[in-house]
Amino acid sequence: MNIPSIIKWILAFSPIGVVLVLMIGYRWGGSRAGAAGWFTALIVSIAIFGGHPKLLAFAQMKGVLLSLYVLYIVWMALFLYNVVQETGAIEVIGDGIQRLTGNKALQLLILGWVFASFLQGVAGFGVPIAVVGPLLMGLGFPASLSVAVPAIGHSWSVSFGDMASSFQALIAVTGLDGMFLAHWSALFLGLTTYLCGLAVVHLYGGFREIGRSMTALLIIGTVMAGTQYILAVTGLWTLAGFVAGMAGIVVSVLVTRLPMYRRGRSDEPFRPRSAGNMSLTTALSAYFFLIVIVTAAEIVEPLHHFLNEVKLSLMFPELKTSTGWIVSAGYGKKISIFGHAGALLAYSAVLSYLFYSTQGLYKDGSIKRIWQKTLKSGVSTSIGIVSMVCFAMIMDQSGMTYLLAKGVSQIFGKAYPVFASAVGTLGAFMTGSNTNSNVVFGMLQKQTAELAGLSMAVILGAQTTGGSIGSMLAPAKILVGCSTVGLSGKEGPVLRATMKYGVIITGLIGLLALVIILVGVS
Amino acid sequence: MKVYFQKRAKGLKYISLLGMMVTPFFLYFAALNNLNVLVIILLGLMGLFMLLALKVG
Repeated sequence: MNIPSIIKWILAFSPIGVVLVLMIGYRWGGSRAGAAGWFTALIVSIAIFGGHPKLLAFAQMKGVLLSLYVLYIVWMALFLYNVVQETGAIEVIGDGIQRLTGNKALQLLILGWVFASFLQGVAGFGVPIAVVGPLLMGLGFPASLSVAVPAIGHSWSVSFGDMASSFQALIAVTGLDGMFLAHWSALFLGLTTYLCGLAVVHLYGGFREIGRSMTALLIIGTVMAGTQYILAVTGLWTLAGFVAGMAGIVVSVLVTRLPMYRRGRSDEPFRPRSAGNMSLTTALSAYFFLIVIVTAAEIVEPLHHFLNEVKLSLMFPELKTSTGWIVSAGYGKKISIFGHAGALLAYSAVLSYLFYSTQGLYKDGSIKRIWQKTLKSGVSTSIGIVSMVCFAMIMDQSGMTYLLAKGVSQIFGKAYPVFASAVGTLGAFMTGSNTNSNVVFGMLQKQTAELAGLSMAVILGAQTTGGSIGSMLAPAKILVGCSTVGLSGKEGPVLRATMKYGVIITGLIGLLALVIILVGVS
Repeated sequence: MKVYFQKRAKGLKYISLLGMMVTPFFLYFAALNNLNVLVIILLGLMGLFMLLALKVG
Protein backbone atom coordinates (compact mmCIF):
# COMPACT_ATOMS: atom_id res chain seq x y z
CA MET A 1 0.00 0.00 0.00
CA ASN A 2 1.49 3.34 -1.09
CA ILE A 3 0.51 5.97 1.46
CA PRO A 4 1.19 9.65 0.70
CA SER A 5 4.05 10.98 2.84
CA ILE A 6 1.95 13.64 4.51
CA ILE A 7 -0.62 11.06 5.67
CA LYS A 8 2.20 8.87 6.93
CA TRP A 9 3.67 11.84 8.79
CA ILE A 10 0.30 12.66 10.37
CA LEU A 11 -0.11 9.03 11.40
CA ALA A 12 3.39 9.02 12.90
CA PHE A 13 2.39 12.09 14.89
CA SER A 14 -0.94 10.58 15.99
CA PRO A 15 0.23 8.97 19.30
CA ILE A 16 1.69 12.30 20.46
CA GLY A 17 -1.41 14.09 19.20
CA VAL A 18 -3.69 11.72 21.11
CA VAL A 19 -1.75 12.30 24.37
CA LEU A 20 -1.75 16.07 23.87
CA VAL A 21 -5.46 16.25 23.11
CA LEU A 22 -6.41 14.00 26.02
CA MET A 23 -4.14 15.71 28.57
CA ILE A 24 -4.61 19.32 27.52
CA GLY A 25 -8.03 19.26 25.90
CA TYR A 26 -9.83 16.71 28.05
CA ARG A 27 -7.71 17.09 31.21
CA TRP A 28 -6.96 13.38 31.43
CA GLY A 29 -4.23 12.24 33.79
CA GLY A 30 -0.92 11.04 32.39
CA SER A 31 -1.53 7.39 33.24
CA ARG A 32 -4.75 7.19 31.19
CA ALA A 33 -3.48 9.37 28.33
CA GLY A 34 -0.24 7.35 28.18
CA ALA A 35 -2.18 4.12 27.80
CA ALA A 36 -4.28 5.67 25.00
CA GLY A 37 -1.06 6.83 23.30
CA TRP A 38 0.35 3.31 23.63
CA PHE A 39 -2.64 1.78 21.81
CA THR A 40 -2.41 4.42 19.07
CA ALA A 41 1.33 3.84 18.59
CA LEU A 42 0.85 0.06 18.54
CA ILE A 43 -1.91 0.18 15.91
CA VAL A 44 -0.10 2.71 13.67
CA SER A 45 3.18 0.80 13.98
CA ILE A 46 1.61 -2.52 12.92
CA ALA A 47 -0.71 -1.12 10.24
CA ILE A 48 1.54 1.48 8.60
CA PHE A 49 5.17 1.21 9.71
CA GLY A 50 5.66 -2.54 9.44
CA GLY A 51 6.03 -3.21 13.16
CA HIS A 52 5.93 -6.94 13.84
CA PRO A 53 5.43 -8.77 17.18
CA LYS A 54 9.14 -9.42 17.74
CA LEU A 55 10.07 -5.77 17.19
CA LEU A 56 7.25 -4.65 19.46
CA ALA A 57 8.35 -7.13 22.14
CA PHE A 58 11.90 -5.74 22.18
CA ALA A 59 10.54 -2.18 22.10
CA GLN A 60 8.56 -2.92 25.26
CA MET A 61 11.61 -4.33 27.02
CA LYS A 62 13.67 -1.29 26.04
CA GLY A 63 10.82 0.87 27.31
CA VAL A 64 10.76 -0.90 30.67
CA LEU A 65 14.54 -0.57 31.08
CA LEU A 66 14.23 3.15 30.37
CA SER A 67 11.26 3.37 32.75
CA LEU A 68 13.18 1.58 35.50
CA TYR A 69 15.99 4.08 35.04
CA VAL A 70 13.50 6.88 35.61
CA LEU A 71 11.34 5.23 38.26
CA TYR A 72 14.36 4.43 40.41
CA ILE A 73 14.76 8.20 40.89
CA VAL A 74 11.04 8.90 41.16
CA TRP A 75 10.45 6.38 43.96
CA MET A 76 13.58 7.31 45.88
CA ALA A 77 12.86 11.05 45.55
CA LEU A 78 9.38 10.41 46.96
CA PHE A 79 10.90 8.30 49.73
CA LEU A 80 13.39 11.04 50.65
CA TYR A 81 10.67 13.66 50.56
CA ASN A 82 8.42 11.66 52.89
CA VAL A 83 11.32 10.97 55.27
CA VAL A 84 11.82 14.75 55.53
CA GLN A 85 8.13 15.65 55.48
CA GLU A 86 7.29 13.27 58.33
CA THR A 87 9.49 15.31 60.69
CA GLY A 88 7.80 18.62 59.81
CA ALA A 89 11.07 19.87 58.28
CA ILE A 90 9.40 21.07 55.07
CA GLU A 91 7.43 23.66 57.07
CA VAL A 92 10.65 24.76 58.82
CA ILE A 93 12.43 25.22 55.44
CA GLY A 94 9.45 27.17 54.13
CA ASP A 95 9.57 29.43 57.17
CA GLY A 96 13.34 29.90 56.69
CA ILE A 97 12.96 31.12 53.11
CA GLN A 98 10.02 33.31 54.05
CA ARG A 99 12.27 34.90 56.67
CA LEU A 100 15.10 35.34 54.11
CA THR A 101 12.83 37.49 51.97
CA GLY A 102 9.20 38.42 52.19
CA ASN A 103 9.11 38.96 48.44
CA LYS A 104 7.01 36.14 47.00
CA ALA A 105 8.49 36.47 43.49
CA LEU A 106 12.01 36.22 44.90
CA GLN A 107 11.00 33.19 46.96
CA LEU A 108 9.77 31.59 43.74
CA LEU A 109 12.97 32.48 41.91
CA ILE A 110 15.24 31.17 44.66
CA LEU A 111 13.42 27.87 45.03
CA GLY A 112 11.93 27.28 41.60
CA TRP A 113 14.71 28.67 39.40
CA VAL A 114 17.96 28.53 41.40
CA PHE A 115 17.52 25.67 43.89
CA ALA A 116 15.72 23.50 41.31
CA SER A 117 18.59 24.07 38.86
CA PHE A 118 21.12 23.16 41.53
CA LEU A 119 19.20 19.92 42.18
CA GLN A 120 19.25 19.22 38.44
CA GLY A 121 23.00 19.66 38.59
CA VAL A 122 23.39 17.07 41.31
CA ALA A 123 20.61 14.60 40.65
CA GLY A 124 18.60 14.79 37.45
CA PHE A 125 15.39 13.35 36.18
CA GLY A 126 12.37 14.64 38.05
CA VAL A 127 14.19 15.32 41.32
CA PRO A 128 14.06 19.15 41.09
CA ILE A 129 10.30 19.12 40.54
CA ALA A 130 9.68 16.38 43.12
CA VAL A 131 11.68 18.20 45.80
CA VAL A 132 10.83 21.86 45.09
CA GLY A 133 7.12 21.37 44.33
CA PRO A 134 6.19 20.48 47.93
CA LEU A 135 8.50 23.20 49.31
CA LEU A 136 6.66 25.87 47.29
CA MET A 137 3.34 24.46 48.34
CA GLY A 138 4.54 24.69 51.94
CA LEU A 139 5.14 28.41 51.33
CA GLY A 140 1.50 28.82 50.38
CA PHE A 141 1.71 28.81 46.58
CA PRO A 142 -1.08 27.00 44.69
CA ALA A 143 -0.39 23.34 43.89
CA SER A 144 -0.35 23.72 40.08
CA LEU A 145 2.00 26.74 40.29
CA SER A 146 4.24 24.79 42.69
CA VAL A 147 4.78 22.13 40.02
CA ALA A 148 4.90 24.40 36.96
CA VAL A 149 7.50 26.77 38.44
CA PRO A 150 10.32 24.24 39.10
CA ALA A 151 9.43 22.44 35.85
CA ILE A 152 10.08 25.69 33.94
CA GLY A 153 12.79 26.99 36.25
CA HIS A 154 15.18 24.04 36.10
CA SER A 155 14.90 23.25 32.41
CA TRP A 156 17.82 25.48 31.30
CA SER A 157 20.20 23.36 33.39
CA VAL A 158 19.24 19.92 32.07
CA SER A 159 21.82 19.61 29.27
CA PHE A 160 24.81 20.38 31.48
CA GLY A 161 23.18 19.14 34.68
CA ASP A 162 23.45 15.63 36.10
CA MET A 163 27.15 15.64 35.23
CA ALA A 164 26.30 16.77 31.67
CA SER A 165 24.93 13.33 30.80
CA SER A 166 22.74 14.77 28.01
CA PHE A 167 25.61 16.72 26.49
CA GLN A 168 27.83 13.64 26.73
CA ALA A 169 25.15 11.67 24.88
CA LEU A 170 25.21 14.27 22.10
CA ILE A 171 28.99 13.98 21.84
CA ALA A 172 28.76 10.17 21.79
CA VAL A 173 26.02 9.91 19.18
CA THR A 174 27.43 12.52 16.76
CA GLY A 175 31.08 11.60 17.22
CA LEU A 176 31.96 15.32 17.35
CA ASP A 177 34.39 16.96 19.77
CA GLY A 178 32.81 18.37 22.91
CA MET A 179 34.82 21.57 22.61
CA PHE A 180 33.35 22.07 19.12
CA LEU A 181 29.81 21.76 20.48
CA ALA A 182 30.22 23.52 23.85
CA HIS A 183 30.29 27.18 22.70
CA TRP A 184 26.90 27.39 20.97
CA SER A 185 25.24 24.92 23.34
CA ALA A 186 26.31 26.96 26.38
CA LEU A 187 25.34 30.21 24.66
CA PHE A 188 21.81 29.02 23.78
CA LEU A 189 21.40 27.51 27.24
CA GLY A 190 22.67 30.74 28.78
CA LEU A 191 19.92 32.71 27.03
CA THR A 192 17.46 30.03 28.15
CA THR A 193 18.58 30.67 31.76
CA TYR A 194 17.20 34.21 31.63
CA LEU A 195 14.09 33.16 29.72
CA CYS A 196 13.25 30.48 32.29
CA GLY A 197 13.65 33.00 35.12
CA LEU A 198 11.42 35.47 33.27
CA ALA A 199 8.83 32.74 32.66
CA VAL A 200 8.78 31.80 36.37
CA VAL A 201 8.09 35.39 37.43
CA HIS A 202 5.60 35.97 34.61
CA LEU A 203 3.67 32.83 35.55
CA TYR A 204 3.35 34.17 39.06
CA GLY A 205 2.63 37.85 38.55
CA GLY A 206 2.67 38.78 34.85
CA PHE A 207 4.74 41.59 33.30
CA ARG A 208 4.30 43.87 36.32
CA GLU A 209 6.12 41.38 38.52
CA ILE A 210 8.88 40.99 35.90
CA GLY A 211 9.62 44.71 36.23
CA ARG A 212 9.96 44.41 39.99
CA SER A 213 12.17 41.31 39.81
CA MET A 214 14.37 42.43 36.91
CA THR A 215 17.42 43.24 39.06
CA ALA A 216 17.36 39.81 40.71
CA LEU A 217 16.76 38.12 37.35
CA LEU A 218 19.71 39.88 35.71
CA ILE A 219 22.17 39.36 38.57
CA ILE A 220 21.34 35.72 39.30
CA GLY A 221 20.85 34.84 35.62
CA THR A 222 24.21 36.35 34.61
CA VAL A 223 26.05 34.51 37.37
CA MET A 224 24.44 31.13 36.54
CA ALA A 225 24.67 31.45 32.74
CA GLY A 226 28.19 32.89 32.91
CA THR A 227 29.48 30.16 35.23
CA GLN A 228 27.96 27.47 33.02
CA TYR A 229 29.45 29.02 29.84
CA ILE A 230 32.96 29.42 31.27
CA LEU A 231 33.07 25.84 32.58
CA ALA A 232 31.62 24.40 29.36
CA VAL A 233 34.00 26.14 26.96
CA THR A 234 37.01 25.27 29.12
CA GLY A 235 36.18 21.58 28.82
CA LEU A 236 34.71 21.18 32.32
CA TRP A 237 31.17 20.63 31.05
CA THR A 238 30.54 17.77 33.51
CA LEU A 239 30.60 20.34 36.33
CA ALA A 240 28.96 23.21 34.40
CA GLY A 241 25.34 22.70 35.52
CA PHE A 242 26.19 21.73 39.09
CA VAL A 243 28.58 24.63 39.79
CA ALA A 244 26.28 27.12 38.02
CA GLY A 245 23.45 26.10 40.38
CA MET A 246 25.75 26.40 43.39
CA ALA A 247 26.91 29.87 42.29
CA GLY A 248 23.24 30.77 41.83
CA ILE A 249 22.42 29.85 45.43
CA VAL A 250 25.30 31.95 46.81
CA VAL A 251 24.40 35.02 44.74
CA SER A 252 20.69 34.61 45.59
CA VAL A 253 21.42 35.01 49.30
CA LEU A 254 23.34 38.21 48.46
CA VAL A 255 20.47 39.47 46.28
CA THR A 256 18.04 39.12 49.19
CA ARG A 257 20.28 41.61 51.04
CA LEU A 258 19.72 44.31 48.39
CA PRO A 259 17.63 47.19 49.81
CA MET A 260 14.81 46.72 47.29
CA TYR A 261 14.35 43.08 48.29
CA ARG A 262 15.17 43.45 52.01
CA ARG A 263 12.09 45.58 52.35
CA GLY A 264 10.09 42.87 50.66
CA ARG A 265 6.62 43.45 49.44
CA SER A 266 4.86 41.25 51.88
CA ASP A 267 2.44 43.21 53.99
CA GLU A 268 1.32 40.02 55.67
CA PRO A 269 2.68 39.39 59.16
CA PHE A 270 5.04 36.42 59.32
CA ARG A 271 3.09 33.30 60.25
CA PRO A 272 5.32 30.33 60.97
CA ARG A 273 3.86 27.01 59.85
CA SER A 274 6.28 24.85 61.83
CA ALA A 275 5.12 23.82 65.28
CA GLY A 276 8.31 22.51 66.94
CA ASN A 277 11.64 24.17 67.63
CA MET A 278 13.65 22.49 64.88
CA SER A 279 16.49 24.61 63.51
CA LEU A 280 16.74 25.38 59.79
CA THR A 281 20.07 23.53 59.64
CA THR A 282 18.48 20.38 61.09
CA ALA A 283 15.55 20.68 58.71
CA LEU A 284 17.84 21.05 55.71
CA SER A 285 20.22 18.29 56.78
CA ALA A 286 18.59 15.71 54.48
CA TYR A 287 19.43 17.93 51.49
CA PHE A 288 22.96 18.54 52.81
CA PHE A 289 23.38 14.75 52.95
CA LEU A 290 22.08 14.54 49.40
CA ILE A 291 24.54 17.18 48.17
CA VAL A 292 27.50 15.55 49.95
CA ILE A 293 26.60 12.04 48.79
CA VAL A 294 25.94 13.00 45.16
CA THR A 295 29.00 15.25 44.96
CA ALA A 296 31.24 12.53 46.42
CA ALA A 297 29.74 9.85 44.18
CA GLU A 298 30.24 11.93 41.04
CA ILE A 299 33.51 13.69 41.74
CA VAL A 300 35.57 11.21 43.82
CA GLU A 301 36.74 8.94 41.01
CA PRO A 302 37.47 5.71 43.03
CA LEU A 303 34.06 5.95 44.73
CA HIS A 304 32.35 6.70 41.39
CA HIS A 305 34.05 3.68 39.84
CA PHE A 306 33.18 1.43 42.81
CA LEU A 307 29.49 2.43 42.85
CA ASN A 308 29.12 1.99 39.10
CA GLU A 309 30.62 -1.48 38.86
CA VAL A 310 27.29 -3.36 38.87
CA LYS A 311 25.08 -2.45 35.92
CA LEU A 312 21.83 -3.99 34.74
CA SER A 313 21.14 -4.14 31.02
CA LEU A 314 20.05 -6.46 28.23
CA MET A 315 21.40 -7.06 24.75
CA PHE A 316 19.06 -6.52 21.79
CA PRO A 317 19.57 -8.03 18.32
CA GLU A 318 19.33 -6.11 15.03
CA LEU A 319 15.77 -5.94 13.72
CA LYS A 320 14.07 -4.77 10.56
CA THR A 321 10.47 -3.67 10.09
CA SER A 322 8.58 -5.00 7.06
CA THR A 323 8.92 -1.50 5.56
CA GLY A 324 12.72 -1.67 5.77
CA TRP A 325 13.52 0.47 8.84
CA ILE A 326 16.53 -1.05 10.59
CA VAL A 327 17.01 -1.02 14.36
CA SER A 328 20.66 -1.69 15.11
CA ALA A 329 21.79 -4.22 17.69
CA GLY A 330 23.02 -2.97 21.05
CA TYR A 331 22.42 -2.75 24.75
CA GLY A 332 19.29 -1.21 26.23
CA LYS A 333 19.48 1.50 28.88
CA LYS A 334 22.14 0.56 31.44
CA ILE A 335 21.14 0.95 35.08
CA SER A 336 23.89 1.23 37.65
CA ILE A 337 22.32 -0.43 40.69
CA PHE A 338 24.47 1.33 43.32
CA GLY A 339 25.67 4.45 41.52
CA HIS A 340 22.38 5.55 39.91
CA ALA A 341 20.88 8.87 41.04
CA GLY A 342 18.04 6.83 42.59
CA ALA A 343 20.52 4.85 44.69
CA LEU A 344 22.17 8.09 45.85
CA LEU A 345 18.76 9.42 46.84
CA ALA A 346 18.12 6.17 48.75
CA TYR A 347 21.41 6.51 50.68
CA SER A 348 20.47 10.11 51.52
CA ALA A 349 16.99 9.04 52.65
CA VAL A 350 18.30 6.27 54.93
CA LEU A 351 20.99 8.53 56.39
CA SER A 352 18.45 11.31 56.91
CA TYR A 353 16.02 8.92 58.60
CA LEU A 354 18.74 7.76 61.01
CA PHE A 355 19.78 11.36 61.69
CA TYR A 356 16.23 12.61 62.32
CA SER A 357 15.56 9.53 64.51
CA THR A 358 18.53 10.37 66.74
CA GLN A 359 17.05 13.87 67.08
CA GLY A 360 13.75 12.34 68.24
CA LEU A 361 11.78 13.94 65.39
CA TYR A 362 9.63 10.93 64.51
CA LYS A 363 6.43 9.80 66.17
CA ASP A 364 5.39 6.14 66.52
CA GLY A 365 4.55 4.37 63.26
CA SER A 366 6.55 6.80 61.13
CA ILE A 367 8.08 4.09 58.91
CA LYS A 368 4.62 2.77 58.03
CA ARG A 369 3.34 6.26 57.22
CA ILE A 370 6.41 7.07 55.08
CA TRP A 371 5.98 3.82 53.14
CA GLN A 372 2.22 4.34 52.64
CA LYS A 373 2.62 7.93 51.45
CA THR A 374 5.41 6.95 49.05
CA LEU A 375 3.35 4.10 47.62
CA LYS A 376 0.21 6.24 47.30
CA SER A 377 2.00 9.02 45.41
CA GLY A 378 4.12 6.77 43.23
CA VAL A 379 1.71 4.33 41.60
CA SER A 380 -0.25 6.61 39.22
CA THR A 381 2.94 8.42 38.26
CA SER A 382 4.68 5.14 37.52
CA ILE A 383 1.83 3.88 35.32
CA GLY A 384 1.98 7.13 33.34
CA ILE A 385 5.75 6.96 32.92
CA VAL A 386 5.81 3.28 31.87
CA SER A 387 3.00 3.68 29.34
CA MET A 388 4.50 6.84 27.82
CA VAL A 389 8.03 5.54 27.59
CA CYS A 390 6.74 2.27 26.09
CA PHE A 391 4.77 4.10 23.38
CA ALA A 392 7.75 6.38 22.68
CA MET A 393 9.86 3.24 22.22
CA ILE A 394 7.34 1.74 19.79
CA MET A 395 7.53 4.99 17.78
CA ASP A 396 11.31 5.05 17.89
CA GLN A 397 11.79 1.39 16.94
CA SER A 398 9.24 1.57 14.11
CA GLY A 399 10.88 4.63 12.53
CA MET A 400 7.95 6.91 13.33
CA THR A 401 10.05 9.36 15.36
CA TYR A 402 12.66 9.54 12.57
CA LEU A 403 9.97 10.23 10.00
CA LEU A 404 8.55 13.06 12.11
CA ALA A 405 11.91 14.82 12.35
CA LYS A 406 12.84 14.12 8.72
CA GLY A 407 9.54 15.54 7.49
CA VAL A 408 10.12 18.77 9.40
CA SER A 409 13.68 19.14 8.12
CA GLN A 410 12.72 18.43 4.48
CA ILE A 411 9.86 20.88 4.45
CA PHE A 412 11.78 23.77 5.94
CA GLY A 413 15.16 23.44 4.17
CA LYS A 414 17.30 26.56 4.78
CA ALA A 415 14.82 27.78 7.36
CA TYR A 416 15.47 24.55 9.25
CA PRO A 417 17.45 26.18 12.12
CA VAL A 418 14.14 27.64 13.34
CA PHE A 419 12.93 24.10 13.88
CA ALA A 420 16.16 22.52 15.11
CA SER A 421 15.32 23.37 18.71
CA ALA A 422 11.71 22.20 18.18
CA VAL A 423 12.94 18.75 17.14
CA GLY A 424 14.98 18.54 20.35
CA THR A 425 11.96 19.66 22.37
CA LEU A 426 9.76 17.06 20.66
CA GLY A 427 12.20 14.29 21.59
CA ALA A 428 12.36 15.34 25.23
CA PHE A 429 8.59 15.78 25.37
CA MET A 430 8.06 12.23 24.23
CA THR A 431 10.69 10.45 26.27
CA GLY A 432 10.92 12.82 29.23
CA SER A 433 14.65 13.02 28.73
CA ASN A 434 17.11 15.43 27.12
CA THR A 435 19.55 12.52 26.85
CA ASN A 436 17.10 10.40 24.86
CA SER A 437 16.23 13.35 22.66
CA ASN A 438 19.92 13.83 21.85
CA VAL A 439 20.34 10.10 21.23
CA VAL A 440 17.30 9.87 18.94
CA PHE A 441 17.73 13.12 17.02
CA GLY A 442 21.44 14.01 17.39
CA MET A 443 22.61 12.14 14.31
CA LEU A 444 19.59 13.24 12.27
CA GLN A 445 20.26 16.90 13.11
CA LYS A 446 23.93 16.53 12.23
CA GLN A 447 23.11 14.94 8.86
CA THR A 448 20.44 17.56 8.09
CA ALA A 449 22.92 20.34 8.88
CA GLU A 450 25.54 18.73 6.63
CA LEU A 451 23.08 18.28 3.73
CA ALA A 452 21.71 21.81 4.01
CA GLY A 453 25.17 23.34 4.45
CA LEU A 454 24.34 24.70 7.90
CA SER A 455 26.64 25.02 10.91
CA MET A 456 26.57 21.69 12.77
CA ALA A 457 27.61 23.32 16.05
CA VAL A 458 24.68 25.77 15.90
CA ILE A 459 22.13 23.13 14.89
CA LEU A 460 23.30 20.67 17.55
CA GLY A 461 23.45 23.46 20.13
CA ALA A 462 19.81 24.23 19.31
CA GLN A 463 19.01 20.49 19.50
CA THR A 464 20.37 20.02 23.03
CA THR A 465 18.84 23.34 24.16
CA GLY A 466 15.48 22.25 22.75
CA GLY A 467 15.87 18.92 24.56
CA SER A 468 16.63 20.80 27.75
CA ILE A 469 13.56 23.02 27.34
CA GLY A 470 11.50 19.93 26.52
CA SER A 471 11.97 18.83 30.13
CA MET A 472 9.40 21.38 31.23
CA LEU A 473 6.86 19.92 28.79
CA ALA A 474 7.54 16.23 29.31
CA PRO A 475 4.37 14.67 30.78
CA ALA A 476 6.57 12.09 32.52
CA LYS A 477 8.22 14.85 34.56
CA ILE A 478 4.99 16.74 35.18
CA LEU A 479 3.55 13.49 36.54
CA VAL A 480 6.41 13.25 39.03
CA GLY A 481 5.82 16.77 40.31
CA CYS A 482 2.05 16.41 40.48
CA SER A 483 2.33 13.23 42.51
CA THR A 484 4.33 15.03 45.22
CA VAL A 485 1.78 17.82 45.71
CA GLY A 486 -1.35 15.70 45.58
CA LEU A 487 -2.27 16.57 41.99
CA SER A 488 -2.13 13.02 40.62
CA GLY A 489 -4.64 12.69 37.80
CA LYS A 490 -4.84 16.49 37.40
CA GLU A 491 -1.72 17.11 35.35
CA GLY A 492 -3.52 18.85 32.46
CA PRO A 493 -3.55 22.45 33.84
CA VAL A 494 0.14 22.21 34.82
CA LEU A 495 1.08 20.97 31.35
CA ARG A 496 -0.94 23.77 29.78
CA ALA A 497 1.04 26.35 31.78
CA THR A 498 4.46 24.90 30.97
CA MET A 499 3.49 24.33 27.32
CA LYS A 500 2.96 28.06 26.76
CA TYR A 501 6.42 29.04 27.98
CA GLY A 502 8.13 25.98 26.49
CA VAL A 503 6.84 26.73 23.01
CA ILE A 504 7.82 30.43 23.24
CA ILE A 505 11.35 29.72 24.53
CA THR A 506 11.88 26.95 21.96
CA GLY A 507 10.72 29.32 19.21
CA LEU A 508 13.07 32.08 20.38
CA ILE A 509 16.06 29.72 20.44
CA GLY A 510 15.13 28.52 16.95
CA LEU A 511 14.92 32.12 15.69
CA LEU A 512 18.27 32.93 17.26
CA ALA A 513 19.82 29.89 15.56
CA LEU A 514 18.44 31.09 12.21
CA VAL A 515 19.74 34.63 12.72
CA ILE A 516 23.19 33.33 13.70
CA ILE A 517 23.36 31.20 10.54
CA LEU A 518 21.99 33.94 8.27
CA VAL A 519 24.37 36.56 9.68
CA GLY A 520 27.19 34.07 9.33
CA VAL A 521 28.73 34.47 12.78
CA SER A 522 28.74 30.70 13.25
CA MET B 1 -18.86 -3.17 36.14
CA LYS B 2 -18.25 0.55 36.70
CA VAL B 3 -18.89 0.15 40.43
CA TYR B 4 -16.50 -2.80 40.53
CA PHE B 5 -13.71 -0.74 38.91
CA GLN B 6 -14.35 2.17 41.26
CA LYS B 7 -14.31 -0.08 44.30
CA ARG B 8 -11.17 -1.95 43.28
CA ALA B 9 -9.35 0.98 41.60
CA LYS B 10 -6.43 1.03 44.04
CA GLY B 11 -5.68 -2.69 43.78
CA LEU B 12 -6.20 -2.70 40.01
CA LYS B 13 -3.70 0.16 39.66
CA TYR B 14 -1.04 -1.93 41.42
CA ILE B 15 -1.87 -4.92 39.18
CA SER B 16 -1.71 -2.75 36.07
CA LEU B 17 1.69 -1.29 37.01
CA LEU B 18 3.14 -4.65 38.02
CA GLY B 19 1.87 -6.23 34.79
CA MET B 20 3.34 -3.46 32.65
CA MET B 21 6.71 -3.81 34.35
CA VAL B 22 6.95 -7.61 34.43
CA THR B 23 5.36 -8.72 31.11
CA PRO B 24 8.12 -7.15 28.91
CA PHE B 25 10.74 -9.39 30.59
CA PHE B 26 8.77 -12.48 29.46
CA LEU B 27 8.26 -10.81 26.08
CA TYR B 28 12.01 -10.30 25.75
CA PHE B 29 12.84 -13.93 26.46
CA ALA B 30 10.01 -15.21 24.25
CA ALA B 31 11.16 -12.99 21.36
CA LEU B 32 14.80 -13.94 21.88
CA ASN B 33 13.88 -17.66 21.65
CA ASN B 34 11.60 -17.13 18.62
CA LEU B 35 8.47 -18.27 20.50
CA ASN B 36 6.22 -16.30 18.16
CA VAL B 37 2.85 -17.47 19.52
CA LEU B 38 3.91 -16.67 23.08
CA VAL B 39 5.08 -13.22 21.95
CA ILE B 40 1.62 -12.49 20.53
CA ILE B 41 -0.12 -13.78 23.68
CA LEU B 42 2.16 -11.67 25.90
CA LEU B 43 1.62 -8.58 23.74
CA GLY B 44 -2.10 -9.15 24.22
CA LEU B 45 -1.50 -9.36 27.97
CA MET B 46 0.47 -6.11 27.85
CA GLY B 47 -2.49 -4.55 26.04
CA LEU B 48 -4.77 -5.83 28.77
CA PHE B 49 -2.70 -4.09 31.45
CA MET B 50 -2.75 -0.89 29.38
CA LEU B 51 -6.51 -1.21 29.09
CA LEU B 52 -6.68 -1.54 32.86
CA ALA B 53 -4.59 1.62 33.19
CA LEU B 54 -6.95 3.37 30.78
CA LYS B 55 -9.85 2.36 33.02
CA VAL B 56 -8.46 3.00 36.51
CA GLY B 57 -5.36 5.15 35.94
